[in-house]
Amino acid sequence: MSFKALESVKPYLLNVPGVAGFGLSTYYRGEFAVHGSEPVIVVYVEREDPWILRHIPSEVEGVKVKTVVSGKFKTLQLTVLQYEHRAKYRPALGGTSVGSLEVGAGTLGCRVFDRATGAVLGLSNNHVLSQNWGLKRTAYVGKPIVQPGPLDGGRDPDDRIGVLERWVDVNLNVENLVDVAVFRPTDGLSDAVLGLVDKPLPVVDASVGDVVRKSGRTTGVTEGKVEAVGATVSVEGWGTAIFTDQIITSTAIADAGDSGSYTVNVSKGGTAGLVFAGSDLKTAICRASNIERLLNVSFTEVAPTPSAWLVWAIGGLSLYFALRENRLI
Amino acid sequence: MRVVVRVVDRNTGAPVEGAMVMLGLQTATTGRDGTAVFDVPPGSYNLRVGRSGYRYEQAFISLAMPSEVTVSLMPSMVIL
Repeated sequence: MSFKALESVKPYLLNVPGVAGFGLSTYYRGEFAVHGSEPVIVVYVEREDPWILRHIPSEVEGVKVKTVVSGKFKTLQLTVLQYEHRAKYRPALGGTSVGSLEVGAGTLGCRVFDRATGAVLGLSNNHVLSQNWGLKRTAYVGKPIVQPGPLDGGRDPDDRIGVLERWVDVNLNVENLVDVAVFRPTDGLSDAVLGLVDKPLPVVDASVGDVVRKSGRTTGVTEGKVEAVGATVSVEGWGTAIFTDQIITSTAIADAGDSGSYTVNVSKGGTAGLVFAGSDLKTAICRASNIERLLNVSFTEVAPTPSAWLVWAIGGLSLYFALRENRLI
Repeated sequence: MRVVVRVVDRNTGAPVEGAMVMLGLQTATTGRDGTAVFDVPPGSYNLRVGRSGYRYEQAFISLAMPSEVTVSLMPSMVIL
């Protein structure tokens, strides 16, 4: 009966902020468990906070509940070995381990093209490359990016593949559309995404029921079905941020370290977006069209915009006349 | 007085099975149809709903007659 009570209260407790864990034990007298006595459900809380304590039931299906202040438990998040996706590649390619020096490891999504200049850039998540996410604000242009990520042995400057170019901030008090950033490669960047595509595909819009497939640092190549589009999700990072217009899969297809995974819409033969968040049940993907618009990049090759050509042309002419004037040419 | 709490996914509208619902001090778990049924006297209650993978929701509600209350849960995730 006590196990049944624990199972029934488990989904609720998992969602109470500040609950660090729970389990079955024997009856508590004061702070000590008295073995052989009637079982109780023990709920571990991060701190002695009246708000948290108010949300812990005193009894569940006849089983008493004992609250214990335990602090926060830490878990080992990265357990699945996918060596191929964690190795060092030159030129670096999509689907492999990457990160700034401030993170363990995420996934290099793919190469994209800067719409303004036509330059090749490397795409992943803001929280993998730049870390201007919620309460954390440590992004700066020129921040070193290493492949593989630090958790997989990447060090600066030996494993540096580029520097941070630009990003889209993730803010806590507004609705966000994307968690993305790009770096400027200093050592070339392959078109390929490991185990998935030879080069990124044109963008397509996902529909419910479409099959999507991603290539990531932790779980490799996995696929799932789209359960919702235009979805709203609450995401824990450095604070809790709300994301709208997301693609959600009906099962979890990614794990810690897969952030930034380039995702293909297999049903429609195009780019779906970039994995950035998940739970035990589902995975969230930023829409490719939002990524292109907000970062001003393209998944497929583009000619630089006229304004960029103009800047180059004027710059070149100025240089030419300056050199001539000084009789250097 | 019979009160039915219906729990649905905010994005899909699908019933959420296995959600823990607390109405006042009573607890129940939603079935396959996403509902949990309570028998309570009229009054004001703190309604709390939680499930792994969804953001915890709570609201104060006043119940004067048999009612059906729908709660939409927003998926809750972590950055990977």
